Amino acid sequence: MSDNAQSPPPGSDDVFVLGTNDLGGGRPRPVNDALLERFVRTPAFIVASYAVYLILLIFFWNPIEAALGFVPGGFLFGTIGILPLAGLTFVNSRTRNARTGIPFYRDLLTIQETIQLVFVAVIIGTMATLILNLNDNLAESGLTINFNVLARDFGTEVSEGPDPRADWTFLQSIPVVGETLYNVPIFTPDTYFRALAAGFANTLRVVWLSLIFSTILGVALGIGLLSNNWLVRNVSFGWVEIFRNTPLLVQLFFIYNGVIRLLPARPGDALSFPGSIFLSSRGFYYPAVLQTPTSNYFYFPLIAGAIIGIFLWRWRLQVNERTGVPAHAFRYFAASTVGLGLIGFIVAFAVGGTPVLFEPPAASGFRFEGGASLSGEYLGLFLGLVFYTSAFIADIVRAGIQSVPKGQVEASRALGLKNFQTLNFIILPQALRLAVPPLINQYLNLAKNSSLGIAIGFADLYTVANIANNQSGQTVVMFVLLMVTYLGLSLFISVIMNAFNSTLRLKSR
Amino acid sequence: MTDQPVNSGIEYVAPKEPPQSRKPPANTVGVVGWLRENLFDGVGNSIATILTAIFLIWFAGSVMDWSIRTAEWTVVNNNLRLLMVGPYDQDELWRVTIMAVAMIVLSGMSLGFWSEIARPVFVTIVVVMVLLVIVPVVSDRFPPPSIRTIVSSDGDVPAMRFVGNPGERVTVAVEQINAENADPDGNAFNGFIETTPGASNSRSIWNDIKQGIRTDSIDLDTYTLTFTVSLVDASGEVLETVTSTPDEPGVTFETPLPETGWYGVLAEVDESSDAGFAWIRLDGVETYTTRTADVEARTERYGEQPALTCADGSDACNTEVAQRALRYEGQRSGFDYLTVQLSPFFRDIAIPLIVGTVIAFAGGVLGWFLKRLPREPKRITNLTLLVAWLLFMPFAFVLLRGFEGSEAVSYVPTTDWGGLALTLILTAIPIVASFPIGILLALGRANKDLVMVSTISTLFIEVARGVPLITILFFAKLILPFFISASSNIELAPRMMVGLTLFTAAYVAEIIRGGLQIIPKGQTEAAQALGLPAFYITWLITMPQAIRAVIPALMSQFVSLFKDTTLVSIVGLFELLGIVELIVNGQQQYRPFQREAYLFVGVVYFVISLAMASISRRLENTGVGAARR
Amino acid sequence: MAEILQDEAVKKNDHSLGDHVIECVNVNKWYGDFHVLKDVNLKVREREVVVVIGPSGSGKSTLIRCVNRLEEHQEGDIIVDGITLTNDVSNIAEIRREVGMVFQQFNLFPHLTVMENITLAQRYVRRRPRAESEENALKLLERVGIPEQARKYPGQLSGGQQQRVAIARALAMNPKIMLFDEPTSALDPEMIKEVLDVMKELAQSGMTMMVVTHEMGFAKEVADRVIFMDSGRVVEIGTPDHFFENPSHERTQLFLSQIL
Repeated sequence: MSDNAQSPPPGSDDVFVLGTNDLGGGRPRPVNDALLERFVRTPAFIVASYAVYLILLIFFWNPIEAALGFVPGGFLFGTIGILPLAGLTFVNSRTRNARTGIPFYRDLLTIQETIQLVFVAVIIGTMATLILNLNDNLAESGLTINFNVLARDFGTEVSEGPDPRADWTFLQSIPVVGETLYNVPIFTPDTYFRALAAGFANTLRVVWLSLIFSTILGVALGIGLLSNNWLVRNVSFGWVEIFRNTPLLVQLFFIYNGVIRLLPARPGDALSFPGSIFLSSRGFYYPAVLQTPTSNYFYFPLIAGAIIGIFLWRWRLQVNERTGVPAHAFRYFAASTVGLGLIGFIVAFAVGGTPVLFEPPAASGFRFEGGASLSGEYLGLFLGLVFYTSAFIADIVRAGIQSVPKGQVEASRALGLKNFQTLNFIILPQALRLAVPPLINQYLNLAKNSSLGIAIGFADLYTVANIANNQSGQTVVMFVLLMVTYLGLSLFISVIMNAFNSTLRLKSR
Repeated sequence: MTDQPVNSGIEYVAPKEPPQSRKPPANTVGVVGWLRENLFDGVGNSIATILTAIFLIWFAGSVMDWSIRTAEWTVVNNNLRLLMVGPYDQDELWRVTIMAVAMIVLSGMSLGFWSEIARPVFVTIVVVMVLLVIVPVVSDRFPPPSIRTIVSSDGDVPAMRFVGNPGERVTVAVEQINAENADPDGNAFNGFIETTPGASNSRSIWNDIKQGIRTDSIDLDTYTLTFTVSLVDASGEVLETVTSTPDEPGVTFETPLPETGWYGVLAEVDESSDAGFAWIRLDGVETYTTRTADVEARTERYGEQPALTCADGSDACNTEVAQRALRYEGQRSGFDYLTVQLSPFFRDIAIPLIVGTVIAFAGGVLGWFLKRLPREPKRITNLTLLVAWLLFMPFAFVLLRGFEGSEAVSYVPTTDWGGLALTLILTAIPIVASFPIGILLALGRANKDLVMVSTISTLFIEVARGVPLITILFFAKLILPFFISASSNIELAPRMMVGLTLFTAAYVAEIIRGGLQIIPKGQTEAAQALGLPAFYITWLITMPQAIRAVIPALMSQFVSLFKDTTLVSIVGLFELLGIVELIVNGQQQYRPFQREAYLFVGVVYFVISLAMASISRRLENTGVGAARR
Repeated sequence: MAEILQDEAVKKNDHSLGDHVIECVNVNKWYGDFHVLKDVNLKVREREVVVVIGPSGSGKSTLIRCVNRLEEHQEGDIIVDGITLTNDVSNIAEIRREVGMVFQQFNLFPHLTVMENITLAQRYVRRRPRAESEENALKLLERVGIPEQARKYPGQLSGGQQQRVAIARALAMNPKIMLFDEPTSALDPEMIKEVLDVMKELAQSGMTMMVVTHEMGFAKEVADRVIFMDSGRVVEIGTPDHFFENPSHERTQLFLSQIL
């Protein structure tokens, strides 16, 4: 072909024919040949140079200060802080401009880097000024920051929670919901650290149960919002609007001060429900599940059954995929769990007595003996969090389900899928994809809102930290601890939920 | 095919006259159809309907029963001023009024200009206004509840003082308290009992009697009371008198009042009396309030309150039928609810609410006219309105705060601010202040060219969003002042505003960043291709579009901020929720009425949140946010 | 040969071509590791209409987006109106003032009226008074045939009208060069003509134009030269007659056989 090609006359700019038929032949992106510039721009170099710089600065700080003759203020710190970055910018600018010949003040990159330098200098300067001020002012008030406060003696009582000094008996009874975090009514932790740990455990205690119940209630309400029953739909709507549009704190006060606290206080007068469940202004009392010598004969087979059940579940799905036989995965799972559990139960009886013993609470004088309990404060915070969060979750669920186009349901019906199958294979995967990210936000909000327990005297992390602050005056320490802990909790929840979200995306891509 | 007539080729031809369209089956339309479709569509649905209906009737019924017959709403009524403005200096309330009026006018104008008032909202407002006027008028036609005081052998007998007009009829009756009508668990009677604060009053005696019956330590069978009850006028002249004896305790008289003025009911216990209790019941007497303005108005009309003397010559037993000295006992009837609870409340809020609505409406009409201006003046109005809102915030702050050493607008420290006014300020100022900070943070985070700027912005946003608001308020309360000086005396309210602003700014930043992300890249490119500098691209092209796209999210964030202002009550400010706590925990007589108080503030928050949400929806649909693409 | 080609071009657009206003010399560009533009060499003369055609993903759009620095090239030089495109902020600003661009998706600003769309850059970049900008905008709207739509928002216009507004918006800056990035690809068939008519009128008036398009009719009728690109390379440059009747390169022949 190329012999046919009419080559343009040499020297012409206006016509051109590519001399070759090979249109591929891309090259890799050229790397910058200025080795120094490349090296200087690597993040590792920047971090390393900063580390060296800071170490040197700390090492020689006294002579520097002596040489300066005055104590440097924040803005000098700001300037000092950006020196390596400024040097880097300068080197970059010079090497680049040497090649292109643009004056540095007209070079886009140099301008951007300079803006950034100024910004960083201002931030470091401001932070340094504030922190120096803070340090001086605290010292002046005799409140020097001291992290050793955590080892000091915490002189006050904590009204409930797992006592970190007690045996961690809750580990023994994990299968039983009420006893998961072993709850001591009132105790005196010996150090600040233990008090704060007990507070954090209380926070977790209320957060995880509220998470579960607000999800259940929220999903139910969300489905209610979409019900084709007028009454159900509007009752759900009313519930959601009422709880969404009033402050959580008002709800907490109403539930705790207006309902729970007005219940009869004496065990004899407590509201009683079938199954030895009592409700008084002190709290919620229900039968405890006790360990017996034969418990393990029952629990271990039950857990083993569940594990085997999961494997059966996956095996059935594979069978279904291979042969088309209906999976009935849940039936297999249930059969395995219940079957092995039942065998374990019988064995336990055979070996020596019941594996599960219920101990109902009994009123005696001014308190209940035996049984398990949740304090009134716990109950108030729990109910408030569940009602408030469920209203938001309901709306998310509604929006998620409504986001699935009607045509999807119609198409699935047209293919002959049953209602359950339509929900499972068509609606849920699409709805969840939209609903999970805002759901994560609501879970984070719930965890953060648990700090409002202080308003009704629930001994959560914030309440304990507040007491600790009042006792010791170590405000900064307490603030840092609070911040780090809540950030950690938020991070933990969002990591778990994001993992769930990404598996969801993978499945339903 | 072969069966068909070959020659025809036509299978069907529609008749020339089209058939009449028939009505749908009767059970699919109308009320029956609606019920079938919405409530009884299948067995499961019918069961759900019935269960929900039973629950709803039970719930609504018990709430109504409680709120009408048992609840004591006077805790709200008697503390309205505290709830609205907190402990703000009473002589300086005109400033709050000015602020409120300015805010109402601005809101009305903004609504009229940027949006339109929906008909349902308008109808609701009109209905509420009419109710506000009608309920007090109607309730005046019902007889007021009875008022009772106790006569005992060993106590002072209060002299009840009240005001009356000619022609009004007052009934005074004596009822012996015996084992039958003093049943501590039963509802012996409905009506007011005298409960003058501090003194040994009828209610405490009545409680002692009930307690005595419970523990069998009191004997109601011996009754030896002999006493006279008389109605006197302001000068002490006896108009009517009657004597109750152990043989015939239940005496009564009814008399018309001769003139406008003060009256009193006195009782004189005979020496021979040494056991037993009796009620003196007053019917047809209106109770009154003791607020400064009302007292002045009453003195103006009825003259100074007379100092009636007790039987023993002391004047310690002078008792008024003031609302604060009375407590309703027993189960309330619907009529009593209207006269005792609703009517005083409506009477108190009617004038401010009606005036406010009229002003707002006037503002709305003005806004409506401005909206119909030609282009150029409309643009200017738009700008003016925005600037007015922005200037309003600092203006309100300065006006409420006043100046130290100034006579005309004296200094009112923010520690004296409170109630709904403080809640609104704590909402408004952070909204205005967090907006620019949020925009800058969003731009900082979105700008991936400037790595450090974006990292620092991200860090701030994520930390502020990752910790509870209360932690930030903790910081603002306890650490913030130490940044400035060791003995810093910045007031708590501004510190809380800083905390709320920083917190909200982080959320606003994320919302705006979300808006920036959905602006198509082509918008920036087109602007770049036109040669617009980066600042103008952001200011004129991307930011306006981004903000318009996220108005609903922003509004719901601001609603959330409004709700979150309640948290400042934990750190010690008396905004709406804080002042309620102060009322129910600080004033002994209101302690049992926490439910009523919290329910009331709940309703206030609910109404305002809902209003904000509906404004956001209207903005989205009709106003500045309406999609013009 | 070149002279003949040039004569034809002159005949076609009835104006003489001037000096080179766009020069691309060995331009290379990568997206990450993907080589988008490979040694592109190209010169466009003043008052010339150049049409760039080629299959999807051949780098046509990237090329013209490089010309006003919406995209950054990594190697080679692009010289527009005598200014070399680099990181130099004032050069970039100057070039963008001189080069107008029309996009496939119109990219009108939806929150501004048609009038505001056209006056915006005049006021903030050219610093013209508002009245003058509006007068200018009205003239341009008349030129593209929709003076009555000035107060409407872009969302209220049809696609063809929107694209004509976009052309007017670019022209309002009095650019020396106009770039068109597939201006008719997002339009319904019956609206394509109204946009092409405006472009033809513009070509007649002597505007330097670089047009990426799939409209072969337009290329035949209006273009002075046609550039064919594939896989990031310039495969063939020639006059429309020569290009469509007698393409030289094998790839060009294949392409033309598939679309014609």
